[in-house]
Amino acid sequence: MKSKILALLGSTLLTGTAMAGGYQVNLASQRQIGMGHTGTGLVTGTSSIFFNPGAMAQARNGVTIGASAIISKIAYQAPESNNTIMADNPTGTPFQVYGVYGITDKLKAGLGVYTPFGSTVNWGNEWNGRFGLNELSLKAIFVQPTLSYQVTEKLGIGAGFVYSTGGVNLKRSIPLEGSEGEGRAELDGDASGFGYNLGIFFKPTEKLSLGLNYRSQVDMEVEEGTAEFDVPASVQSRFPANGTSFKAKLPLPSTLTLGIGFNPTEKLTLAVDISRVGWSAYEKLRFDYGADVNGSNFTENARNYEDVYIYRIGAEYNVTESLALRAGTYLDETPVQDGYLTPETPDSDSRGLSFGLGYSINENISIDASFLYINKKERTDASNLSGGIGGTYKSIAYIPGVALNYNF
Amino acid sequence: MKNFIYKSGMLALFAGTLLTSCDPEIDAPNPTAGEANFSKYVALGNSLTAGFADGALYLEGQQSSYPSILAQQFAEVGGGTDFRQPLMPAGVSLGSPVIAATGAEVPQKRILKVQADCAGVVGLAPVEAGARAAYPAAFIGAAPTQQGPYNNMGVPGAKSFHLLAPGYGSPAGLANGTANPFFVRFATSPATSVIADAVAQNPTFFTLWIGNNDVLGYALAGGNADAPTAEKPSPNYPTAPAAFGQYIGALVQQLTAKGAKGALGNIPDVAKIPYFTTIPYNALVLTAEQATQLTAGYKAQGLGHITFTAGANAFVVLEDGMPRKMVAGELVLLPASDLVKCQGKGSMSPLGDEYVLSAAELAIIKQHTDAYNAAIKKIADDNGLAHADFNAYLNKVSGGFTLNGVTYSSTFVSGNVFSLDGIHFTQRGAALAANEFIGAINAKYNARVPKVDETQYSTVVFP
Repeated sequence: MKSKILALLGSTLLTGTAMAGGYQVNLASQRQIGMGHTGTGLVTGTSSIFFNPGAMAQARNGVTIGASAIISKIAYQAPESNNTIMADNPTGTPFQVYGVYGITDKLKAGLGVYTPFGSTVNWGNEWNGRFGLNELSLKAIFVQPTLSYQVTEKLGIGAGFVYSTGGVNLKRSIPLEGSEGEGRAELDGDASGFGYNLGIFFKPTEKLSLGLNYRSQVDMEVEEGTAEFDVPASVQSRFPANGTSFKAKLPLPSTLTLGIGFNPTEKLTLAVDISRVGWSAYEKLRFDYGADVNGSNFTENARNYEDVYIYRIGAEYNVTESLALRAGTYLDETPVQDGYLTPETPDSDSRGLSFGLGYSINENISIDASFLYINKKERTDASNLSGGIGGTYKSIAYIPGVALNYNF
Repeated sequence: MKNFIYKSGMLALFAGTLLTSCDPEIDAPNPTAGEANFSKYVALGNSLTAGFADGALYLEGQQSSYPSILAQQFAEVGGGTDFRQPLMPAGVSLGSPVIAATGAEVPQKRILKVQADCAGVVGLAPVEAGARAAYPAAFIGAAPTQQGPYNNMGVPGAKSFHLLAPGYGSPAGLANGTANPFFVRFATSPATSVIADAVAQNPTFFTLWIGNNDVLGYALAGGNADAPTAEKPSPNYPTAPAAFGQYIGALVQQLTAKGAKGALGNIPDVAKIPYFTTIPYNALVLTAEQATQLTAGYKAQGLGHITFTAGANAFVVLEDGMPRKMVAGELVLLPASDLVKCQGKGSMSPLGDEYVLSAAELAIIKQHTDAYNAAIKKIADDNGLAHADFNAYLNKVSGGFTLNGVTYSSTFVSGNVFSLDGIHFTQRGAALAANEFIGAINAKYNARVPKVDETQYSTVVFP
């Protein structure tokens, strides 16, 4: 069993198609996905490492391993056209691994490995926007060692350090036509960054709990990427012959979340989360090249994302001792302003609807399964401020996922 | 437990497979012909309509002519699918015949090639792809490979009144200039006219984009033509505006006689095409020493008012027998390139008047273009026809714009709109022109003809 899941992880792309606002991927726990991805105001188990390190001190010792499959579909239509183009996105497979262990009764240590950001979109090299983008893959894997301390019976605090590792790969066509077709550019680089995750968890009564969580911005920096250009021979002199290096920085925005948990009965848990995501950090996408590329040593396009809120609500009902049913929904505002839509992240306000179930096989082993449907509003944009590709975009995604919990 | 995982995994997989078939859909209004009927579309015009590019008529340019692209888009809203053009045999190209030392010859289409220019500097340059062919043999040997009647009635070189002229396709009229060898290729009879052959097809929809040559001929001659008089005709001088309006009116009257709808294209400011804008009036860059020598040289000829300084200088032009320096706003024609580069023209000796459009000549061009366009607009409005404003469009190109990640401008070679003759469209440029027509047609006839993906059409090909 374990080997099967490990094999699954081993074969994954370790990335998710961006299916939250921007290139955020809010798929941190199978139980919580089922509840509309709420959880900051709850003790969610090992995944409190992500949702609220302040609640981790109350989590049982254990290990969780889980993954989702993002089947995303993006349709595009050029202005005044009748031809719909579908992006051929590979199935994204964000995953999560959490482990929590109590050092003392009040102090617990945890380690989380999860994928909160990423994007894989493949438009191909024939569509009308190919000079903007053929294919983009962004990957970020967060590794977060965490400590949580139960200050009083009602109050817990926690903090985690985040190391992020990943990379970017971007392919686009160059509008220079040769006898063998159009030019192509490919940028590829490893990226890494640092951040932190802080949380406070407060449970004033048996029925009510509150959580506040701050996940910091992480700047993913590409220090030494490789940029390669395939162009007609007669214009080759305007491009570095054997490619060049590039630097780039992509901000993974901060998220501040206030969560509330409420247990009206012993069997029912309700949760509400409100998050503010600091997307305004993403002002521009800039690549600095090690040599001149077609007359310039950098390219820069404005992004000017704006900060947004995400509103989530979720519920869990324990049908029996071993079976829990879950449902949730959320509204995720788009950080992309009018005029700035791009084919990398053809984003718009998105609605999420989720279901899930949990099944305890015995005292120590349980399974969570979730299903999330995301529907982004159809959006038409001139994309005239971002160097994007104007037109109408519509995205939906189906995201099944499963996780195994082992508690001890 | 193993079983449970397996089952739920299979369930998820099954659900995933089911859901992959549910694609998002874009809510866009369906294409419609609106009040227009595109079942029989005929295009009338000149070289731009014919698909002439890179200095010649050849198959690929014809296949991507704007009428051909329009017909393809019209087919989405009930337009006819059998759009016929007097196609060239593959690999053969026909430029407009020119008089050379050995007689008339036919230029070949231009391609970009890396080679040494007249000064020995190696670089990319537009050159004719092969040896010139003899005229008129080349035209006779290049009969259309597709049967008529031809929906694309574009005739390279045609002016407004030529479309009305009987015998414009008569081989016998070639010698005295009353016929056009491009129309001789596909006229239904020696006596016919372009308009007669067009009307005979009973078009339900037409585009008429004619008049560029009525003023371009003057511009290509460097404005070297006097206004015509009763005694002395001046074929290169722009067509008189009043007559122009009558010609367009007569063409439209015949085309709409049976109720056809259509679109008229107006005339761009020809002074904004690369043929006239590539060489700046002050592209003469001198060292201090060269400037002193030239100044002294002109002074010695009693032309002390012509002086030069280190840096950029205006070229010297010979106008009405007198050398003078060009002034800002005046234009140098593209063929002057080698003359100024290697023969000292414009500096050691003046450039001929035929290589320069002076301020006065540009004023004549503008005055006629404006008058033509007023006539075209009025005729379009009076007859309920769509009006494609190519004058405004070329102004937009001239300022530069970005579409789908590609920059378009009137820059020679790299501007993506104009082909290697500096006058005619690239295939991409033709697609953009087709979209201009579609925009005007949709607006006028409440139609939704889908626009074409212009990126599927070639620009200049680099070796």
